[in-house]
Amino acid sequence: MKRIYLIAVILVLWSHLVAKDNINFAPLPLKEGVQNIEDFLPLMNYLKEKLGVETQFVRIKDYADIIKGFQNGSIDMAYLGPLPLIYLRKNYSYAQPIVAFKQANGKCYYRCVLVKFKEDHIDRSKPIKIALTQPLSTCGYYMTNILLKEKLGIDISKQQYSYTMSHSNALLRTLEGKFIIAGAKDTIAKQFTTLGMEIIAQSKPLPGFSLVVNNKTLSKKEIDAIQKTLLNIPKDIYGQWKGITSRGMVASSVKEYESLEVDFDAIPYEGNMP
Amino acid sequence: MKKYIIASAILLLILAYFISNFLSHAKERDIQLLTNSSMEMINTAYKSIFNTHKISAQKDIYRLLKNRPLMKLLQKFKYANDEYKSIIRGKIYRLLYEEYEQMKKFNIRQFQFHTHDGKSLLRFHNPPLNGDSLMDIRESIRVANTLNKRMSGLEGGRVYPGFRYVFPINYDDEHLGSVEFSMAFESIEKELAAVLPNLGYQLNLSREISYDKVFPWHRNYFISSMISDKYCIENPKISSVTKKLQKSPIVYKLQLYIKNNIDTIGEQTEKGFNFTLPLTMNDSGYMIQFIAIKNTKNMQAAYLVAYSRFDQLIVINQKYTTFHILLYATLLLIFLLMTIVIKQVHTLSLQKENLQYLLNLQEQIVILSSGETLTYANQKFFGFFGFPNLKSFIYKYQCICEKFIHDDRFFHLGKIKDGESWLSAIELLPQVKRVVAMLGTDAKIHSFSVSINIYKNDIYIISFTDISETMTEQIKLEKKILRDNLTNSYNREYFEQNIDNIITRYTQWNSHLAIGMLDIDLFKDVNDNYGHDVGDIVLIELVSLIKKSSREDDILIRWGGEEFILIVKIYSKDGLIAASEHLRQVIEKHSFKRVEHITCSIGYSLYKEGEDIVHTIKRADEALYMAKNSGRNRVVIT
Repeated sequence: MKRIYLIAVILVLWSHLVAKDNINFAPLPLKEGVQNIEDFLPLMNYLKEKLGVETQFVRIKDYADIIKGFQNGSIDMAYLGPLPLIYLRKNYSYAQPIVAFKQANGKCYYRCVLVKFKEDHIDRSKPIKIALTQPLSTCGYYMTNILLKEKLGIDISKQQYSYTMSHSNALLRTLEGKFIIAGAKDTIAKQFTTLGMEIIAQSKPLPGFSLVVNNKTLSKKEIDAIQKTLLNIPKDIYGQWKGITSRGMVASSVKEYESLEVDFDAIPYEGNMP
Repeated sequence: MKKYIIASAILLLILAYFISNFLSHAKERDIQLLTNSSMEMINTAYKSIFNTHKISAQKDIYRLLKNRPLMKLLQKFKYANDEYKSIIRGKIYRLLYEEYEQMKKFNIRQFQFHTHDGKSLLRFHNPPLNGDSLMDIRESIRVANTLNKRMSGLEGGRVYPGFRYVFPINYDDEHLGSVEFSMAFESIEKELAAVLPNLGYQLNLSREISYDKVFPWHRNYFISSMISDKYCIENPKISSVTKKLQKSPIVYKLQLYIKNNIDTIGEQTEKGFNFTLPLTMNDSGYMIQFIAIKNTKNMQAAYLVAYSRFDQLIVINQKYTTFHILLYATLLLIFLLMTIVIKQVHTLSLQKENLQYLLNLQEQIVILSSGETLTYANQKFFGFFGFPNLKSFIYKYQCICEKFIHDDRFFHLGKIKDGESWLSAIELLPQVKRVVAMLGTDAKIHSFSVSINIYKNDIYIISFTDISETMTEQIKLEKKILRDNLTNSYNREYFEQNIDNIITRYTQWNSHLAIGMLDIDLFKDVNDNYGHDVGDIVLIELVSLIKKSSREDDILIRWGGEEFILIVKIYSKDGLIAASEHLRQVIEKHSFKRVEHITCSIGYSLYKEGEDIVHTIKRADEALYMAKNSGRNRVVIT
């Protein structure tokens, strides 16, 4: 009995000894790198204040970097959309969503939309230039392809498309006139309506963006602590924040994302523009 | 003595304090000169960078104002409805986004148009964020859109504070709004580092223009500054400048220094002036310079903090440490010397006191003198002359010799040559002749035997022994022995006793000694005709007459009867002839009592060096004989 007690004490002490002081967090490459970090700064400062863990932002170019980071243990936590999460879990089963972020409508789902500048006209007589986010972005090739086909009757494979690496970039390049249509997340696209951009098609609700943790680099105790802390942030605090973090979070699980059927092999990893 | 040594120590300590203080001030001044120069350089570099961008911004605005499509869009925007405003906004973005890309290459971070009523029309750095009113929070936008004036300077904003250049836009005499070009500190820092490479630059922004002014969700862009809780710096998570500085171990140590001196630095920053903190760490010199930056309202808005090496500080410190060591070593040396001097003075003082005590015990008058100046006198001296102290005596007399009475029996100032010291003169005399006469407070003339001994260097101990009683007796005896009873002239005894000295004295330098034999012509007739009494009176009168007509040095000796010898000091034969002829004539012309006129014959002979004086007298006698034989009443010199 004494031996068991001793082992228990050692295990508790060990768990404290190996408890992480830093969390390596990869924000989604939705916008400009710095701005992406800025949106998550208040949330990470809150975690530091409550749990004493310092967040190190890991700069990533694309979703492929996130997957690599999870696999080699250099990323402990990431902000991911549904498609990247499914893709990640397909390659790395230790990725686990813990909270999903509420959208402007107070729900945890969002839509993908097609956007164009109001004064631009879609000329179907020649290939249409389409701005995409990233190959593994939900609103990238995957949903844009579906929306073009279902809402506008346009076959993407016969058009000219290019990956701009983020939702904002896709919208900005279209605003600049380099593309006629952009595929992006609805909340981001709506911000561009003040710039003469209009939403021409929108998807059905999709499971929301979530914080995904690496089961292999973080202990269950740490994951529970993070999840509990995030779910209990008072409204008057997150209400002061900006962007995706400013509307609060709900608990999230893998099950919610399993409804999406994605044929990853059909997604091209490069654009087809000359 | 102890109190003098303590006083010296205190004096030197006070001196050390003042000199040390002076050196400290001089050191501070040296450091100040260098830091001021460095501060001036950073200030100039900062201003020139800011102004260069101002010129660049002026070129940009000039180009924009010439862009007719843009002006037309802005004109339409002013009057469009909200939906059309969105389209125009997009069109403006489409028109100028390439230009913005170019601006970014020149470190412009924010390029923004404002409406005529001060709202954000289009932020090229964040296009979806627009429509918010900036009029109340941005002075530059208020001035550009209400006073139609351009403004530039550091200014807070809704997202970041920046170095702003805001220009009003007027087209076809219509105010359409304004445009701004803003630079982030990162750009300024990059250019500053290129112009003046330092350990690092950091911009500390006042909370008023940063944390308090940005959108609440942007407050995490800032963290507290180390210099004061009223200032912030950009969060290292979003600022490469802050991150770079955090990685520098030296800057980290310098920032720790700031943290540890936060009270002092906080007071300085309150004043809003430029200042520098020079410091040494691990044998290296550093300086932290705080350059105050005003905002567009000309209010203190930020501190540009420059961390740099300051190797001259070590040199200055070493220099002034050496000065301090030299100072203390010199003062210590002076103290030791002063101690020695004080001890010596004390010893001398004791010696002087002992000497004074000793001298005061003496019966004689004792003085210390160089001959000209009197440095000391004993109590006997003051008692004799009736002076309370030496000062009062010196006030009236320069030398004791002034008190010597002019009496030929004694030594006096009349017996010394011009320019000769009385001490030198009296020293040449035999001891028996070193006698002076002085008048005492008892109204009597006292005679003193003078003895001279060297005290030290040119100072002599001169003692005056009162020999008045002895002298009186001596005078009487001398009169009795050496003088003729009848005529009071010297007699043969005198001659015998003194002739050797007289020869020595009278044959010095270019003088010669002459012996004159004088005889009254036909004196036998006087005795025969008038009696011996009258003869004696004639002799007395003749001696008196000769003394009056002779020079002081001339010595008259009654040789026998009516025959006298004159010992004279001459410088030439002509002089002797003239003097003796004059004497002869004086006697001839003199009217003697009872006998009326008598004459004298005189024979002179010159003393030859080494000659027996008897021979000289004989030759004088022969000359007298010749004068007698030649008819009397004449002078013959052989």
